[in-house]
Amino acid sequence: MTPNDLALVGPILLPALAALLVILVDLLPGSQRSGGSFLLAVLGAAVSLGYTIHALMHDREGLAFFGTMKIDRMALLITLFVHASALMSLLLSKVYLDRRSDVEQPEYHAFVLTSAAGMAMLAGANDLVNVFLGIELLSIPLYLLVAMRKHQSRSVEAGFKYLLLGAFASAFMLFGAALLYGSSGSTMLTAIPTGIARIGNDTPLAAFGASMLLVGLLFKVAAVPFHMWTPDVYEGAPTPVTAFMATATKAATFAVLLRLAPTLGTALGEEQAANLLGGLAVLTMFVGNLGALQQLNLKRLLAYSSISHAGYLLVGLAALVRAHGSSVEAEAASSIVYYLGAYTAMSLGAFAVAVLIDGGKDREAISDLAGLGKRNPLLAAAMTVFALALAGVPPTAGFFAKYYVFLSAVDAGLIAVAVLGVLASVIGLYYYLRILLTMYVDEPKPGHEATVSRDAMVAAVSLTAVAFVLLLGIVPKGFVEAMALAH
Amino acid sequence: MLAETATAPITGFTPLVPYVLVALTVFAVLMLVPKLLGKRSYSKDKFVAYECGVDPIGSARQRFSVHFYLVAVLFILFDIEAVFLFPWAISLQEIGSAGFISALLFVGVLALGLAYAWRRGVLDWNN
Amino acid sequence: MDPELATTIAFYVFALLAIAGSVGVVANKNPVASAMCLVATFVAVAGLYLTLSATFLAAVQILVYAGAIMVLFLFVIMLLNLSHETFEGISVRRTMGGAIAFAFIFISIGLLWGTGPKPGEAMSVRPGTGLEIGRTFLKDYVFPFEMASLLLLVAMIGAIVLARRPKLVGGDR
Repeated sequence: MTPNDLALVGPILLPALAALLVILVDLLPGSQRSGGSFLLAVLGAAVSLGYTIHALMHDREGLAFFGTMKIDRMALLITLFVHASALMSLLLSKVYLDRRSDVEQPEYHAFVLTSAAGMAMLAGANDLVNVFLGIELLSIPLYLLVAMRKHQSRSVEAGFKYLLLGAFASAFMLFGAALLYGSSGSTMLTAIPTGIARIGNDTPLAAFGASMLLVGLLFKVAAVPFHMWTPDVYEGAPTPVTAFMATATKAATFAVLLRLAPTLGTALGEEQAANLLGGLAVLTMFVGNLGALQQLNLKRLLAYSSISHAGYLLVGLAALVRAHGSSVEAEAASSIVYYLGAYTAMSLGAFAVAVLIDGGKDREAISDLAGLGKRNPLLAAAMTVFALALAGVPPTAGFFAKYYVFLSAVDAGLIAVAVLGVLASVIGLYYYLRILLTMYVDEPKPGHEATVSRDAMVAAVSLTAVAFVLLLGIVPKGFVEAMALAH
Repeated sequence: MLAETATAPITGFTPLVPYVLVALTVFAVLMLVPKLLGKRSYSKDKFVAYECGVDPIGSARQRFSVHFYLVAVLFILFDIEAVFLFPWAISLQEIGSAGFISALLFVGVLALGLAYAWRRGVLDWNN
Repeated sequence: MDPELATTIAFYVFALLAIAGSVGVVANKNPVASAMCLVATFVAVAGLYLTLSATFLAAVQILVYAGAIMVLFLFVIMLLNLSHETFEGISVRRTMGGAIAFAFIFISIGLLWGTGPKPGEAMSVRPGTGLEIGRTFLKDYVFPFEMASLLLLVAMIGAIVLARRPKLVGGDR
């Protein structure tokens, strides 16, 4: 352990330290519950975010802790999305929690920070041990955050569901990791493919291990057929938590999937792995978009939307596995990272609006958006941007994200997957437009007028998200080139 | 000695085999002898739970307070902490002061957990 | 006795015990008896670890799993006030679940049969003694070691937050 190691993993240590501080300060005699812990947590998240940006700008990259952590550009970019999401979610939770008295705030804030530390660890993990620990460190606080409103049966049920299925997924992952170690002789992600190639006769073992690891990771990103928990958990969780888990978990888990791509290719065979991932991608896109069509609850709608986005991301992963060794590989990797950045911005924005219309009374129906266009034109405009971006309408970031992912799929020879992906996005257009129609055309139900609270926090989060969605969309080329160094 | 255990790991535990066999034999004899020699009578009253000679009231199965569960969870977590510390204690001479500081941090973080449990009154049974 | 033969015999004894124990877990109608069968499985798995020269892991398996985790299991059984399981009949869903599980097991066995080392061959390069694990923990893996303490802390606080009785939520100071 050298000072350089510690500096490299700073984006992981800082939120962890902030979480410890939040707990410690809360235990001091005379400390007020709430208030102080929020400021401390926001400060911690902001410092972590700032440190990550600093590391990105000064190319603070390299291997740490004997190569078990690999802090490269991809890890830093994903950590950036994670910490941005954590900060936004904390700001949103201020609005959300102050309207409710049933959540213990210092613990809530500490859990968000530890989860962010776990995600950052996952983004830089280069060893199966660190991958597993990162997954657990991100998941356990999330189980708790989901069930945090412990007097709401919906919240507790969601937390329990997530915990049970998540534990199952973890078990699969752990078993898979053990089999991969057994068949390659190494836990280092970069050494596993060569290890498997060297011990050739053990490939069924390696294929089993890789598939089981894949099952656990696909569960975390809510890909079909491991998506069943998503709508219930997203609906039951406090809305800022949903925003955080929808965006940051996806980003962190896809970081591992990117690093595991060579292992998947070696263990399963590149062609088969690409076909498997492509098939799952098509299923995920269609299940997500078709499921969203019939939703009346805004959070459930966004949950299905989140599933469909996992599908688009898997298209990129399939292209990455298939194009191993060619120039398309880097293209696919950067398209995934770009997609994750765009998705983080637009999804956070949409959930921010969901926090606003909730009004402290758990109003989450899409019909609660009715009349928002008249009552709060600015927020309605922001929601319009998010809905269009999620649907993939130009010139938003959502359009270019899909465009680059599908382009890399075509370049890798997965033309059918790309065509089906475009078809699925067309279906998706319908329900995003329904949100717009509700906001601008429908008359609100009496007593259900969209709340016109001019909350500075929500406004700040929404405007930041709008800025990023448009910025990433208007000048996508510069961003993609920045991401291109990711792989 | 290390090389020996690496090639034949299980042979180091062969003395355990007679031990286990003796334990099983004692168990079997203690179970079988009363069954063969003992005089037994069956009646309905024999299957009633003994509650100080009075007719039993209600079911013997009662719900436990969640407090027991909480204590059990804390026990497991500190048990796992102890498991992490065993290898540390054995290898302390080799890993030196860096290892000592690492373990100190580890215990320090968990001490925060203990402080939290204390402050929230989990350790106070009357609460 | 020939060490390799001894290991092979030990492997089969413990493997059969583990399988018998896990069948007992699902076949028993009394949840407490199921839990006791689970103890047998845990102990048998600890024996399997010994055949792999992972002595530390074997000790931990008995200490943590057969000891602490089982205490938790029994507490939960009593907490939920479970009595005998009743057989609810065979539904389509259960049959499908069972079929998938069995297919998974048989396909796994079919694919993995004959691959990997034989029971008698010592698998680990280095014996999994406490000393060896201590070295690995506090040198190569010192970072996950420290993060594990954070994980345990979060689990502890989470359990307390969720399981404290409602009346304590308000003024608990």
